[in-house]
Amino acid sequence: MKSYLAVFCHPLFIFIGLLFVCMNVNALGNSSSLQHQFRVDTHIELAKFYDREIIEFEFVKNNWQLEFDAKNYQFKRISDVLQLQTNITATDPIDSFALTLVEKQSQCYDRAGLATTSKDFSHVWLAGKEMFKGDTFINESLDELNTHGKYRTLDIDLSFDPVHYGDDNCSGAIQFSVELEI
Amino acid sequence: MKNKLLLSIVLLTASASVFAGDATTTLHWKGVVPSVTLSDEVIITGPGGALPYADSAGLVVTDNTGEFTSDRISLELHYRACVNGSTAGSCEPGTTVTGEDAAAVGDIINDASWTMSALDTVIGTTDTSAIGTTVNLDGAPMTQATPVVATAGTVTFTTENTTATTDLLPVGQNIEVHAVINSSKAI
Repeated sequence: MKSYLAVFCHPLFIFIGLLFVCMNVNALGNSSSLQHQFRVDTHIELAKFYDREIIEFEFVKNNWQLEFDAKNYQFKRISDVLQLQTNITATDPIDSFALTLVEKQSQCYDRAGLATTSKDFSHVWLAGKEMFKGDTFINESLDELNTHGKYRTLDIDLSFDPVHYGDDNCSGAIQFSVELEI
Repeated sequence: MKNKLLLSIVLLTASASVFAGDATTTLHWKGVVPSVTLSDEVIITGPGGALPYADSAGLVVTDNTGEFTSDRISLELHYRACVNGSTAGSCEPGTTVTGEDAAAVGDIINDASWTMSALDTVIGTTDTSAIGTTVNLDGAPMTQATPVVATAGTVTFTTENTTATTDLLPVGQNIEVHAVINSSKAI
């Protein structure tokens, strides 16, 4: 019986972060047997096991000068590529992220520099699906791998509604945020 | 009697979806709306190839209901002349006469396409979204973004509104109609 207990109290059976309790059942004498179930809960903070970083998150071309489609009296559609590069290794289980369209604004101005009624006329498309301001696309796959780690490229298109007579120049911006899903 | 010591170990791993490591990026754009889009191969003129051509006409307003008609604006599309004197179009690349004067005007294109790409009616601060302003080409209403092919070269534009505004307009109220017209010819 002593050897049986010794096995369970041997340090090889003690895991990091776990609480083991061994009772010296010999102290109880031989008067009765003892059966006790211990429940040990362990919370593993995976984030502390990995050094995960977003190394790069940017558009290939982040400043655009639009061309004008005179026939339809609107700016021509543009296509850009959003690059997300992380240092997440291939063995790390993290393989998805959430993408949010934080900001989307557009405004035209007349020759005097005053804002006109042409406002909020841009549209953002991610892989053919329109995103509106505040939209979050979750579970986007982080399934490509290079020497730095897991990465992803996303095709982002911007289209524009027709502007109006009297508009002289227009400008706008879109802003995305990305968060790794852990 | 055997003494038993049983250890039941339960490992719990948090699996809630949390987010970490956020970043942002911004794309900026800007663009200029050209007031006149010049073409390398064709040129818009008034009747008979006249330049400069009239691009505005008076509105005929007889009361304060918001209804109006207009005077006429007549236009033509011509090939640009070539520097070698040819006026029939199809100049060698880089040999068309540039500019907006009589020397640039070649032969008239009788079957040019005319397209209305924008139409705005401005009556002070009055909401004109319900106003049914039409632009007519040779008397027939144009549909936005739908080309109309001319048959005799010269085309005449007018505009009108036969829908009264909800409220009567103040005396002396200015009314403006802005239309953007494109002319083209497949060459």
